[in-house]
Amino acid sequence: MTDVTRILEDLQGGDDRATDRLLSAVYGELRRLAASKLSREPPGQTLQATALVHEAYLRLLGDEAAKWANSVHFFAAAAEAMRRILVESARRKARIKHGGGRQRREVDEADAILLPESLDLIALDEALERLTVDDKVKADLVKLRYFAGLTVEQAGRVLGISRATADRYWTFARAWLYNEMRKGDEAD
Amino acid sequence: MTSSEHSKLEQLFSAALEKTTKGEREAFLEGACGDDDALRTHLQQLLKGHDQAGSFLDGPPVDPDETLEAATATTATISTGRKIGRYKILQEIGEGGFGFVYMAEQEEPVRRKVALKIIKLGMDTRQVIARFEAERQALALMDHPNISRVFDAGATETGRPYFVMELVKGVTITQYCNDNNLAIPERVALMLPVCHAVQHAHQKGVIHRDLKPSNVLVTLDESDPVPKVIDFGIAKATSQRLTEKTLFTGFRDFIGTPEYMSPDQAQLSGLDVDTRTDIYSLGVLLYELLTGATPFDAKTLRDSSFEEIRRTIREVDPPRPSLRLLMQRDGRAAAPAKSHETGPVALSRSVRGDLDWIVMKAMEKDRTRRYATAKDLADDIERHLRNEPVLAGPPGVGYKFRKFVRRHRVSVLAGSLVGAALLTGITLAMFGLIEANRSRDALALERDAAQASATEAQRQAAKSETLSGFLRNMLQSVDPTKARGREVTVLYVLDEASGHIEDGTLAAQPDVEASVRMTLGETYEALGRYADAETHLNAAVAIRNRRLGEAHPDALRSSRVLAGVLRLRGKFSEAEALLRETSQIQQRVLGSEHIDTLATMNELALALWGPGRYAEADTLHRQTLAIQRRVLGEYHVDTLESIGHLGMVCRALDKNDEAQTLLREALERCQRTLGDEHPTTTMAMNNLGLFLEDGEDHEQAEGLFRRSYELDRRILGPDHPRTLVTMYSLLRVLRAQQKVAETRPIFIDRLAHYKRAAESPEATAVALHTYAWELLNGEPEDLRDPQAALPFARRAVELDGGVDANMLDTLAMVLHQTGDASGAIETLRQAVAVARAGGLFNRAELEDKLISYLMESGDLVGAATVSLGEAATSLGETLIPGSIPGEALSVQGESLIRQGRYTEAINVLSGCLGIQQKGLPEGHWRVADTTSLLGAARAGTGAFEEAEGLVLEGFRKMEFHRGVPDERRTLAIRRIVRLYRAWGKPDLASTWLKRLPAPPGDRPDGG
Repeated sequence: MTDVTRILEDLQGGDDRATDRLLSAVYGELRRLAASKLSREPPGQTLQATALVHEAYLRLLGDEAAKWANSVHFFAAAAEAMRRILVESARRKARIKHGGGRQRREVDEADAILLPESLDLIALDEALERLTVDDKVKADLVKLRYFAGLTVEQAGRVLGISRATADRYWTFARAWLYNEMRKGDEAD
Repeated sequence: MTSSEHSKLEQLFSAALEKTTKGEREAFLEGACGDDDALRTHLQQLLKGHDQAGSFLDGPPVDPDETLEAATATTATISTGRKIGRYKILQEIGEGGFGFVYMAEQEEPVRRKVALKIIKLGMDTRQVIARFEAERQALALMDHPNISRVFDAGATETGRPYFVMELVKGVTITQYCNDNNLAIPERVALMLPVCHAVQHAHQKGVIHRDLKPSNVLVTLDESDPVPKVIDFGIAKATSQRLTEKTLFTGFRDFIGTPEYMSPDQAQLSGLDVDTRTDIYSLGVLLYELLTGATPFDAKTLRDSSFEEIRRTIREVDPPRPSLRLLMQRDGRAAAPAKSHETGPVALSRSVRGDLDWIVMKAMEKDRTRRYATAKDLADDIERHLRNEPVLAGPPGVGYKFRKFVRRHRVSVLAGSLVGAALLTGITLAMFGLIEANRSRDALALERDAAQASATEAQRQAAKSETLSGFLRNMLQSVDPTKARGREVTVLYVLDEASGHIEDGTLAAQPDVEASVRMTLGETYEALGRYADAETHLNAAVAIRNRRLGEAHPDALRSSRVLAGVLRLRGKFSEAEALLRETSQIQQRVLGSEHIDTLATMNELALALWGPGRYAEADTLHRQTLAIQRRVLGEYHVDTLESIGHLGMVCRALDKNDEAQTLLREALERCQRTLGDEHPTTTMAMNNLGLFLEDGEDHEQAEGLFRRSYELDRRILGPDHPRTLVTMYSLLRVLRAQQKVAETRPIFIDRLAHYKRAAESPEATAVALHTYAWELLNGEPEDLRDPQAALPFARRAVELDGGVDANMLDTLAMVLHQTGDASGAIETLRQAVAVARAGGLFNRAELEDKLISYLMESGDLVGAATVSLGEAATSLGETLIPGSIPGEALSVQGESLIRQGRYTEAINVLSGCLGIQQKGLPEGHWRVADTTSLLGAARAGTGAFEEAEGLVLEGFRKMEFHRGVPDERRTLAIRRIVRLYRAWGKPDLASTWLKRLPAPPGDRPDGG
């Protein structure tokens, strides 16, 4: 049994404190994976964020992956971890940009992680924050779909909502976030 | 917005979206929002956003179910009777990471049963088949009873590649061994045909790349077991480069079976592999047959990240088979033990030594150190089975580090900028060194199997881990940007490390500190920085004695290493005392046949040899060597070193025949087992060279010195003390043959070395002085440069504070030759004063020189005063100045000889002799001294026979005279040596040369 499967069992047993442990385990694994890939890929290579999540999933759960195939906790943690990594990286880049173009900065493995499309991650994150306040389930759905690369249906399964509801939520959240982010653009 | 408001918004939005026409939607909004304009606006915006959003956030999802399926590859099996190409599937016979194997029937062109292997999804079928086609010709050339042929390759209808091969009905080699309870020798013998099969393939240009038990089957239907290697050519065809696409779906395909993957494969993504990758895998296979386990635990590897797997394969030394067997005894029993009901300790003992070494040599991380061919491996296995000494042997402590130094010699010495790559290299090397030390600890552990336990081994391993972690961090902390523009050498990194440890970084973990200091000390020793080595080893010994007790094997080992460095620094009596104490405890605690005890005894013999206690060294070496030959074997590196040392002792004792035999034996064996590029081998070359030089066989000696000098220069570096010794040997033998032209480049090298040392900001007075001295006395003479020597000679004296007579002497000579007569005299006076106060052996020479300088400058009174002072001091008598008859004349005569004015000297000395014979008591040593001097003067004129009578008579009369100052006796011998050399009688010269007491530090080192 891997550490992560143990944590998942704790969570299933109702130990909510295990959530943090899970998040940090997944977060660590994602960074490690990204770093190890970067170290062997030719420079300029990028990594699919969603592919990374899946690899982390297989590696952290090992032989028991099948058993936890639809684990709410795991994918929630993975989506959250990936979101953090990417947003941290984006903030750091923004800081450096505003810091007057310093030449040297640490190489960060997150720099090479590629999302399905390029977006203003910081704006998206802020919008997601607002959505979380209003409707956490929808925000989680977006994270699972976008950062963890699940299908809407799978994300719905993870969140315990029907396929139809998931589709509906997704459509709404997408439109809502799109508008929120555009508002930000207009304000600039 | 509240949650409920939000929820309402969402419901209205969804409902609105269901209205397909614009009109319907507006009507819906009208009805739903009424006069709530804010809500309406919000909804309208959202709907607009929905229409505009396009692919916003809508990247392609990755289905975890597919991921899972790809990873576990549970693809459906193919039903019986189906045809694939021209093959009819009969039944499924196996399943592996690659896919499935079926027994199939081929109908054309011949009807036969074949094995059909279908590779699972996820490979580029066209590429696989193309790669197979590329190798098909080579594969067709293979014809060996232990190789199962691959006939064909193709693609199934669904596009999956398949291979068709000879059907082998058998079980994996590991299963066969276990099912049949094979004993160790039977298991080992079973590897022979496997090696031969691999050798055959290699000769046909085919590398297997994926040797593992499931690819080595043993057929059951023959009376004798016949191993068959299958799947040749398949690994190459199916290997694919890791790309972004295969990032996770291909992950496990790519990894394949990491337990058998060679470091070369792990390092280079399998691109630059050669036949030696198979040698490694054969080593792993043998390891598994011996221990029942793979070197790296399969489960641990699979639980590791990709990067960790590669790091493990490339950097971690697995426990040797015998140790692995011991470690298992608490847990699951090793398969071989279970098979024939032998205890793990007994089993471990049968594997220890030869088999350990064979396996570890095949599994060397550096492929250049593996068996060069599968046949070499097979040959060594056969040697073992015939109880002959095997070529493989255990690497000595520190050898890995030297290997590293050698590998990086170019960049290290070229002073090139060393970036992260070298730092990583150093880190790895340090890691390797620690591992090497650990295996030595482990050896000690094994020998004490009764006390040793798996827990102990684990404790050692855990400590080692902390330790290597520390070093890694510390070394990585050497900031490459900080080092930019300056040389990052091994020494630089070591010095940084030393700084860290002196700052007390490890004070809280004394055990780790002791280990780190041991590593640093041994590394400094290997690099020839003996003073730094001593500092660290001293500290390590102190900590270990305190923490572990003086009788702990680790503490004892540290003491021995420290003593070795003390010896190298010429501190013979300190070294001897420490070694005697250490060996006594070791005899008691470990027994007299323990490898550590033996190493200490050997070291003790060397410490006795240093100051010339040859007879004692002789006895001790013989005792030690006898045990080493028996316990460690004839080809163990410790045994080889001892043979060489004993040879050198015999040389010193004039047991020439024995010396010759031993020194030749040592060299031959070193060359055979260690190769030329090993420090022990170059030492053996130098030693045999010295012996040949004694016998005036300059030509052969020169060959050996030249080779060892060139190798030392490369292996140890141009500034290593041992390189300087061999360099000097070469110079000497060239000068003896008067090969002036050939002397030149070597002497230029020598000057260059001393110049580097003297110009370094940390140059010691000794370094400055040595360079000045070489500039003054070197040969060929046109390379002498007193003017250039002046600043170095001056600075040496300043730095030293004017308390070293030799440095003052050199400065005086420099001044003299650069025309500063009064400066020379003044300096030489100081030298004489120092020499007198310290009772130095060369006092007389200094006084002679002072007298001659004074006489040159016309100060005869001064000269006479010096000579009288000398007489008074030498005799230790309270004589009135001037009361020794003929004294001034004898001094003058000696000084004339020195200046080459022989005829004048003969006149002066003859007169002196007359006066002394009258004025001194009969048989007074001064008469003998003057006789000897007169002989030297005669020799100068070429009257050798007359001279011989005089110098011999002079010496004989002084030899056993108690009042004679040692230096006068020494000078008398020197005169004899010089005479015979000039006369062309080198045998006699060298015989007499051996009667000279050697000054410390001037002796080629034997350790």
